[in-house]
Amino acid sequence: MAPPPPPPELIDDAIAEILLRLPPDDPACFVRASLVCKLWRRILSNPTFPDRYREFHRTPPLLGFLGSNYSYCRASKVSRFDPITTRIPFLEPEFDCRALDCRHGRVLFDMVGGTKGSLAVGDPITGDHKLLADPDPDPISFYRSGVVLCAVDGCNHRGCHGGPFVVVFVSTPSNNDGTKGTRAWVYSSETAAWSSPASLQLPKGSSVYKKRGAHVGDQIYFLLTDTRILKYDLGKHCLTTICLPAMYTNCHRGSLITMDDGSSLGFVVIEDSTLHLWARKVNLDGSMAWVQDRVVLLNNLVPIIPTAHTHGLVNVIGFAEGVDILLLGEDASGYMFDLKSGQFKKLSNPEYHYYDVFPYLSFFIPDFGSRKSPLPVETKQ
Amino acid sequence: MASEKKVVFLRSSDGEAFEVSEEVISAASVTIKGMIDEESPSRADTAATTTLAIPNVTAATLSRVLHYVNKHFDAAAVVGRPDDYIFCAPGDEHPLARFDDDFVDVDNDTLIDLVHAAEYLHIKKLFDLTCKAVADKLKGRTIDQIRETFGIVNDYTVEEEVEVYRENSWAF
Repeated sequence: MAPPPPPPELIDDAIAEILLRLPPDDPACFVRASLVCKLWRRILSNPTFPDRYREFHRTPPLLGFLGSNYSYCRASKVSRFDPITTRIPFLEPEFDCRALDCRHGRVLFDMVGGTKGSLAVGDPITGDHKLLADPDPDPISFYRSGVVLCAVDGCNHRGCHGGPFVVVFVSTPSNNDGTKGTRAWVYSSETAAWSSPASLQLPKGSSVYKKRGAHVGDQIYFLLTDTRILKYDLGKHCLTTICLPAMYTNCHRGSLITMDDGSSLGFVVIEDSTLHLWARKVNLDGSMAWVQDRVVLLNNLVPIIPTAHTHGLVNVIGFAEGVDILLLGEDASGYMFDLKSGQFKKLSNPEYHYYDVFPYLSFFIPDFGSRKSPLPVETKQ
Repeated sequence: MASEKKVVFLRSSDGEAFEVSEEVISAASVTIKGMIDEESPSRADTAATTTLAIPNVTAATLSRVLHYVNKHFDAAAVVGRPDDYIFCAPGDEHPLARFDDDFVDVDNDTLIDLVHAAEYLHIKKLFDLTCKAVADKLKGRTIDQIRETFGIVNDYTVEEEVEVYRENSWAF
């Protein structure tokens, strides 16, 4: 009997197009594909492949999130990374630190007990970290937050994580009695220097709240411990405040988010098993006001199990811009809530104490073409 | 319009001829539109129908391609966008999403033949759809399974393989 005909062979162009469609949220796929044969590896090693891949998929995927498992004792705060997929070569910093922000493929760390500097900006894929001197004269203050941003105008943020960045860092001194100013500094990687501080006097009891800030245009917003939001203007280098939506007496269970493709500030909060999403919009008279954007009843969606400690309270602990995924925490459990599809997914690590998490969105394409590669990039056909 | 009724015949590599509306296939396939445009001057003064040779595509595959093309063209016409052939993108919330899913739910050899046919005929959405379907098949398969699926011979030496595994141990 004649042997069965061999399967049709894929030709090079088609292979490249197929590899371009490997899912961005599972980087291990690239490694498996690279081991199929040398031709596949050569296609993946082509220096133009990463750019083509990012251009094709456009939105960086949510690879995982950094969590801050911390209490009020700073020395116990250590950030850790939880991947969404099980296989990401994520390099956790070797120093004790907690994450303050994660954006455009970079992480801003507040180092704990460090001697070389108190802040660091890191690329968790390459493991590169740049230490920044702490501009804060009161570095033991608990009331600190900050954001790290790509510094390139018009960047699409698909592969800029090795490029220039800026850090906006805000801090309220400990024991703010109404006489000490809350300050904001800006660090530029291009000048390797901090700006002089912008300052604003906040009333007693009002301090920077330790939650992730939101970035809208030239403005960076941070929650305060009362009913207001601190607004830093990058262009004018000045601080002002705006209010939370009127019915909220504190911000503790909510988060600031960036909405509408980065054009609006949002505030999201859970009350009575209902998720309320507010957007800050322009009124007809040109003034800004909070508008209720969405209300989602959670009681049938999240399997909330009340515990003695939390009584089943669910908090908004993070938001992945670009993919519109909210991260909700219920003491020992975390959930991802997809705002577009309405789907819930329980996070993988049941031992984790979810308080504040920082979504890490980035394209990760292993570098098969580097010089350390044991294989020639060009092989004979 | 007279041109709407024109048909062309496509002859597959194994000699079978398929009738298809000229309007439909011109909207779908850049390659065939080019062939028809080249033929046009000589066709204007004759009633004879044109037969185009498609030497790279077998009858079995061509038949499937024409099924896809006709289905998508009809759906585009129903919503009043006959010129916008590309709107039926894979993954869109669209009545044809189910059709597309079923269309690529075929064995590997058929799927690879469709990839090549879509590429040769330059039918962008079909090429996207079939390449995505192949990529989806790669997901979750072991390296050996991928090689077996696509008939690929492992040309790594053991030493080279071990080195790549070692460098990328995180992925396993």
